[in-house]
Amino acid sequence: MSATGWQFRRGDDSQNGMPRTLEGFRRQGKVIHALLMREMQTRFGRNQLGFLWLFLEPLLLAGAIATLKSTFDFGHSIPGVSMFVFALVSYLPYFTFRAIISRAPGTLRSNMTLLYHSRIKLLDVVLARHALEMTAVVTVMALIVVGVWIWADQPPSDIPILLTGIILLFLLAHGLGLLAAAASARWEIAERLIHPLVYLSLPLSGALVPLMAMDPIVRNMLLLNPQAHIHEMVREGFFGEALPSFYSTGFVLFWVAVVNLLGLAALRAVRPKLEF
Amino acid sequence: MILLSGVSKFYEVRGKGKRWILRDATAVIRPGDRLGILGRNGSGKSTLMRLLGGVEYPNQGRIERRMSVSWPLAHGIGVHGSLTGADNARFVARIYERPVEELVEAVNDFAELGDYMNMPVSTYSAGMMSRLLLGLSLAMDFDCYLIDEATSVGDQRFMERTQHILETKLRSRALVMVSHQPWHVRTFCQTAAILHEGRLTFFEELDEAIATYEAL
Repeated sequence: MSATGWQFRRGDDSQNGMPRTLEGFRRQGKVIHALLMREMQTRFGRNQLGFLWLFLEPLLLAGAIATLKSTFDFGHSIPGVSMFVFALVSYLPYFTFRAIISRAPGTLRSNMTLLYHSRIKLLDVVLARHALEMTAVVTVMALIVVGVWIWADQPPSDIPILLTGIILLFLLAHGLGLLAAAASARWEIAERLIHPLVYLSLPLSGALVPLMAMDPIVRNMLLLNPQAHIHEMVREGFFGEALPSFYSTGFVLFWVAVVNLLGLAALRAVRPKLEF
Repeated sequence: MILLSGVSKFYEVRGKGKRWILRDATAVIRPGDRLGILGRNGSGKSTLMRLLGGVEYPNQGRIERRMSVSWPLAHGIGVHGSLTGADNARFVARIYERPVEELVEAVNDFAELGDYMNMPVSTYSAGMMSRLLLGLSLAMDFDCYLIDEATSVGDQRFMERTQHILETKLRSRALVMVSHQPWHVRTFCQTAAILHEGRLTFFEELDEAIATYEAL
């Protein structure tokens, strides 16, 4: 019950143990729902395109990169795998990953005034924002899957694996986003460093080149990065046998847990230091 | 009840070390209290409000809130500029789990905003904003109200209505108001304190507090 404690989302009646935790989750759900409704209203409010843009932006960017790659045909051609579809399927998750991490500091900063409502916690603000991004990317991915299915007559090989890959990608980005937001709230310089770091990580992400096409030594180095596993997983779900892939779900889960726990701890550590 | 025990708060000022807002303050705010806190510009009144509201955390000491406390009511705080008054009311109702449309209705009745209820809050005048904020928080029925700007109570007519509500429906609720204007405190409060150079000094008598404040 202290102001310096974190366990502040308590009911007016003093419940203990499990019921209190459950009550906390219930309230958090309500708060996130309210935040989502508000986000929709502000997006719709400004202009009609506002909401559509959430889906158009990743779709357009991924489409543009895919067109470039297939037109100039750089990269590795794999029989039975369209370069265009490959680039689309690789770039979209990468784009989402990058967007979540580099936007997290701004999300926090521009929503600080929400914390005046003591029921809204720092985590809720970030969670609501990321839930929206997640919805957008799943929708866009579904559009791509359906599009490729209809026009190229190429159904996805394994939808559960594809979906698991996207969810793991989101969870990894969420954890890293929490760390990025907390670091930027603590040190101003962090936000400046995060943008270039995220950009420079592209070659290490294994996003745009299939690991199969790589020298085994390089491949094993890239596989130290959980992000590379995720991109392979998404491609496995999409292309299946046509493009052999390398990934370990356990390895990704381990890193998802690590960055999320660190992210939550960092957010908690930075909360009392925030100045309004 | 809000309990402050040994609460200290400072900000780091570049090259000048610490600027103390509050040093080792201990206080109790009980239901039904009408406390006015006087302080000059920059004395840390708003920070004190944020500490009471749980928005900012103290560097030392503890603040316990044993009743529901409003957010610090000040211009534009707790509302979103690009949303309408009604949508803001819906948002606040959702996060505090109050019946949504009933709350919109109650805010509308109290704030008398008319068509402006459906206009973005960023188009509001200062007076309309204060009516919306007060309408919102009064409809929420908190145990304790934090009023950060005396202008938050609006013009003469609105001040009278606010006073009336505080004396009737909200008689058992606590009110903490900060201001640099003694007459605000005289209008709404029964006891007063002065926040000056990190010290929070309480007075039994309003007149004594105001005289001391004016002599600072």
